[in-house]
Amino acid sequence: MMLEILTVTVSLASAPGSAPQPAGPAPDPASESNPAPDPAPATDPAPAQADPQIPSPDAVSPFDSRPETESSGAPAAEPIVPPDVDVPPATASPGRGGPPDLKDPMAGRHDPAVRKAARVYPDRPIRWRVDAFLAGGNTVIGDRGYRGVDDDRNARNLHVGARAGMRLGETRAFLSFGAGYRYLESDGDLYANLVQAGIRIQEPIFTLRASASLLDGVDLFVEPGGGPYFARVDLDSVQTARQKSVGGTFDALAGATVYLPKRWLPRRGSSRVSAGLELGLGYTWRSDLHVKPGPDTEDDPIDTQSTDLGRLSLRGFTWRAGAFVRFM
Amino acid sequence: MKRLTISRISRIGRMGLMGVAAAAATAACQPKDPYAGPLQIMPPIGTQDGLVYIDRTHDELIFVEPGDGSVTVSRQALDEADAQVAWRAPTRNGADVLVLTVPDNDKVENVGETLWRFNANAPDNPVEYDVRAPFNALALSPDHRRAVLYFDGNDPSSPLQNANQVAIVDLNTRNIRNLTLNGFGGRLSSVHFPGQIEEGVPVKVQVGSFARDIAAFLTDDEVVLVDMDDPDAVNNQVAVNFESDPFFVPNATLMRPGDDLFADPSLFIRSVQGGNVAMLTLVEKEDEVTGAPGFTVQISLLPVGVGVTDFVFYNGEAPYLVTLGQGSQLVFTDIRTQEGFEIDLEGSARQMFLRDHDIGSDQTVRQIVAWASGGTTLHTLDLDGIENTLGRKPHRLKIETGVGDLVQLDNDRVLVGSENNLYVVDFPGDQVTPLTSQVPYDAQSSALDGNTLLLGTPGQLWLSAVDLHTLNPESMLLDDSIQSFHHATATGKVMITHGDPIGHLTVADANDPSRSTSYVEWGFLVEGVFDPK
Repeated sequence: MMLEILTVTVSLASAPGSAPQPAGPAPDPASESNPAPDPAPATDPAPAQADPQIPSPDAVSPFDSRPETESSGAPAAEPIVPPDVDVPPATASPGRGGPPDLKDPMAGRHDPAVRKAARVYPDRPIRWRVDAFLAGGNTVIGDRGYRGVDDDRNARNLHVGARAGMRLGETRAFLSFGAGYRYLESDGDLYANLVQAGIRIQEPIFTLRASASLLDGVDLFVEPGGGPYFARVDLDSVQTARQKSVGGTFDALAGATVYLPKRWLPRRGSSRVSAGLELGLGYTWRSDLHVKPGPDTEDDPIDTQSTDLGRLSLRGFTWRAGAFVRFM
Repeated sequence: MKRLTISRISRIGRMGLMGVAAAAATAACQPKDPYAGPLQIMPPIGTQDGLVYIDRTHDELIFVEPGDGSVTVSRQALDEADAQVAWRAPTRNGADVLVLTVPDNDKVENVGETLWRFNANAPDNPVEYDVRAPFNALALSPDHRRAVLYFDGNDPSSPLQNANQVAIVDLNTRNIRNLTLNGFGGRLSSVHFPGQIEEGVPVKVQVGSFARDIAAFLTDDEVVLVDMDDPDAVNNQVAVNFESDPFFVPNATLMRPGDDLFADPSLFIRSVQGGNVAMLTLVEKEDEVTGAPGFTVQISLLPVGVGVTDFVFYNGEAPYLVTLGQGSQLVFTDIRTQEGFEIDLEGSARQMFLRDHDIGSDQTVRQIVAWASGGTTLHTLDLDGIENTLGRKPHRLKIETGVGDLVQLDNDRVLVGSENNLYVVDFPGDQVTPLTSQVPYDAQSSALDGNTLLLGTPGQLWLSAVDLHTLNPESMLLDDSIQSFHHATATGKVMITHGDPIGHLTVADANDPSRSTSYVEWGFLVEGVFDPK
């Protein structure tokens, strides 16, 4: 079908009286719009579909530098409707030039019922993008004291947020600013359930991500970030004790994202929405949590002193995996 | 920009996979859990400076010293690998803590049994004594000089055990004497220091020309006497067997020093049952082989009646042994002639003590105070000229609700516990003051701080203080019920523990306890727990 469309375009250009026209972009065969686009200026080479695996001199990537005025003439992703063409019906005697060529694969296209041009979505270079993400992660805590508030040394967390970024010039790189919320919860016990201890941490995280596209659908990134953390420590023995603390968090991650490339998306180069997965590895640092909970008391108690139970260093190697939806 | 070739992409991918593998391996590695297993902390013992706990899990002593607004907690490690704490005890004056360590398990062979002495105020330089056996009982001499370790007849802690092995430890000179009692095969049941009748005062018994520090080791039917000062105590022991009287089971001792009335010191042995009191007169005797100076005893049995429950000695016109028997009879026996007389108290009495009774004009006479648990009367009887006033009747102080427990506060006052009532008895004033409460008080959980009687009964929510001048009681409500009550005499604080295994106590001022000047400490037994070593 693709070959037939190209053949028709060439034939029309060769018809007497018409100006020679270069080959235009292959219209979407599924589209019901008129198949013939407006002819492009002779001096502007029409963008062709580039094979991402085998770049050709003529192929153009969505991330390539390309002024908008060099596009195929479509000011936006609006389908181009060709002007009405007086095309004789297929059953009529051939118009100028003789009877219809029954071998012409586009013979049926002369039928008004099928003369709508294929819808075309020109490539939109990505200038900005906004990601909404949900991720889960884990930090391997090096502090042995952490075993008192968890069954193992892995501090699992949930992270949700959004990033907004701009492309850096005409390069493959993007710089994004992100904001999110991370939650960590763990419970453990000390000395065969003599004391039950638990910790809950809530963190607003602000990130700065620098990413670069290896190819359409695969990005590499580095992402430092940080913010305050709000911790709550609970201890239960015969008494119950609680503590709330504030500290600081710093993350440094590097990783990769894989997402639906444009060519897989319905609107191809004009796609506005994508989705993908990401995996990051790095290190999380948090300021020490000084554990000194005060026991619960009734009203007007005797002056109660709590004991310094030590410091928890909630930092270590970290990884994060998640999914995101991208608007671009 | 460099072209992204397949090889470059695959190299980046391999690096990423290596990072993921490293992450997984790190996450999977689990170092040893420092909080595995139970935390074994023994109940606290009180010293003059505070409380001492034994952490058997970490082999440490935890010293808790109360200050004005907080406690100071310090830990002292037991510098002995492969060893565990068998028991601990304070010394009689509360200045030190004694701890016995034994091997962790039967497979450990290079660790011996060691007695440690930690000063409660400065525990970082403990003194250690090699006692060579896992003794399970301790007797401390009233003069604060010695500790005698022995086996008390419970199930043996080792496969083979010498039941009559003892260790006499001099706490001042670090001298240790390990010996086996040279008796007749009886199993040791208790250790007494009969010559030391005043707390903290070193007293020796003059036997002939030698002053001897006598310890009496009691078994089922024999007594072994040892001079703890004798460097050859291993060989110079005196054993007395009572098998001729099958009913004579020694259980109490009383030493009467020699004086003008009776020159030789006498050791009286009371039996659990029967009507005799054994009198062992200590006399000098040289060793038959070596000629070294020694001592021996002359035995006589004093017939003092049936069912003797307590005894004291009194010097009147004659040296009397005063016994309490048959529930209400005071029997005075002249130890020289074994003759005597009786005085009927006309009321039940099973225990007694002697006090000085001020009769005015700066004169005091000795007075007997006698009572019985379950009885309703305290009997007092002046002993001056008693042999000439046999018609003298004892004076009675009524305890309305019955005598449950009696604690002698000082020479002039006793505290009597009687379920929901406490009685402060003032002998000079002949006054019995009942203090009623909503819950039963334990008279043993009390302390005297100057003229203030402090009471903290386990299970209650109140710390009470009674001014013994005005007999005005004041009570302070605690936030949690009492588990144990301790008076730290050197710091002037009362320390009350509550039942939390990680440490929960209230510290109050002993002189004037109140909520506003008290404070509560929680969690001090796990201080720094999140910084495991």
